[in-house]
Amino acid sequence: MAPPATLLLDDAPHPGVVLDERSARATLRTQLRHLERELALLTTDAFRDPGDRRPIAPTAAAGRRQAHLPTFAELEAQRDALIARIAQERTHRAARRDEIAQTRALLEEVRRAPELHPYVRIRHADLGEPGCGGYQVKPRRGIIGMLAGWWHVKLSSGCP
Amino acid sequence: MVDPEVEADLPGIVLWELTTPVDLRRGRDPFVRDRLRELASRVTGGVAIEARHDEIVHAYRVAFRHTGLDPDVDRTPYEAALLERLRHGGFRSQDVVTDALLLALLDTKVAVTAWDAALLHGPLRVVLIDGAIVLADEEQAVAPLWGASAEALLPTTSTAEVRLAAVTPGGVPAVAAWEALDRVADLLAP
Repeated sequence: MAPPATLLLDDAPHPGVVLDERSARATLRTQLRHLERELALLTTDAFRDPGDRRPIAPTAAAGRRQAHLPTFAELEAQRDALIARIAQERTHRAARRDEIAQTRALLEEVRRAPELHPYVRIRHADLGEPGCGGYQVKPRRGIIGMLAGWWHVKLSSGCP
Repeated sequence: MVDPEVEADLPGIVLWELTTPVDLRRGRDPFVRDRLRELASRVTGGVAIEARHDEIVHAYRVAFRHTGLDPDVDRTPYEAALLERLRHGGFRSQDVVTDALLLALLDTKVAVTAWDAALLHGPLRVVLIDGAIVLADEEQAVAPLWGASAEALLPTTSTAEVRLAAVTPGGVPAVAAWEALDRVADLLAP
């Protein structure tokens, strides 16, 4: 009899059903490998965005800090924790992409009509770009420009 | 030799061993010191983060997860070395053996451990002891897998031969493991 596609090893064994734990464990290990790859991509994606620098959070399921052969339940818990973390990371990155898109739209608007956005400042980091500079709406010729409504967008390197 | 039970759960795991004569009475090698300094200048936060995409580092990270460890808490050897570099602003030169192991790790991304060969009994094995995966000789456990070695077995200035070992998870090319062992043996040779 071929083993079932999904196995619930925590359940009481059903008569006539062969629980092939070894193949189930192998499947979980493969899933962990793929999830690790995906998490690595998300982690580096976040790192490349200077406006999204956060400490790397450990996966919640990690417990015993010595190499051992995890039980089936442990592997499952680890997979679930990784999935949860990846989902959280994806949500965060999606929100961050929306934020960047909004900031870009604001920059376009500011460039089109700087007089409507006096002293607005947009950092490169807010646009997901490297560098410590940014764009700022400033009056031309100081106070005269301020009174006359002569505003323009200045790009500053911002670096000391 | 790897315990079949461990091998079943970690397919592709290999234990590499090499016994080599050494001279540990001499001072630290200026070449190693300079090379560590040179490598330190190339390490940035970006390098440490991007390392997880490297084939060998990825294999270690996956193996850590397969052995119940979180590689973002208990770092893989190469990532741990990079993190130490970021924390201290450089690779700290310690002693002849530690420096050689570190240099081999940085060059190959494969972790090598060294013991005083006279203190070991027979070939090493990767075995299960009380549920933990450890490296053991015929009489004693010498180090937890991916962990630090027992202090009493480490080489000293009077050591004439060292036993080098690397445990590589599946996905690490054999050539990288041999290169790591060979590099350490070369740096410690009399």
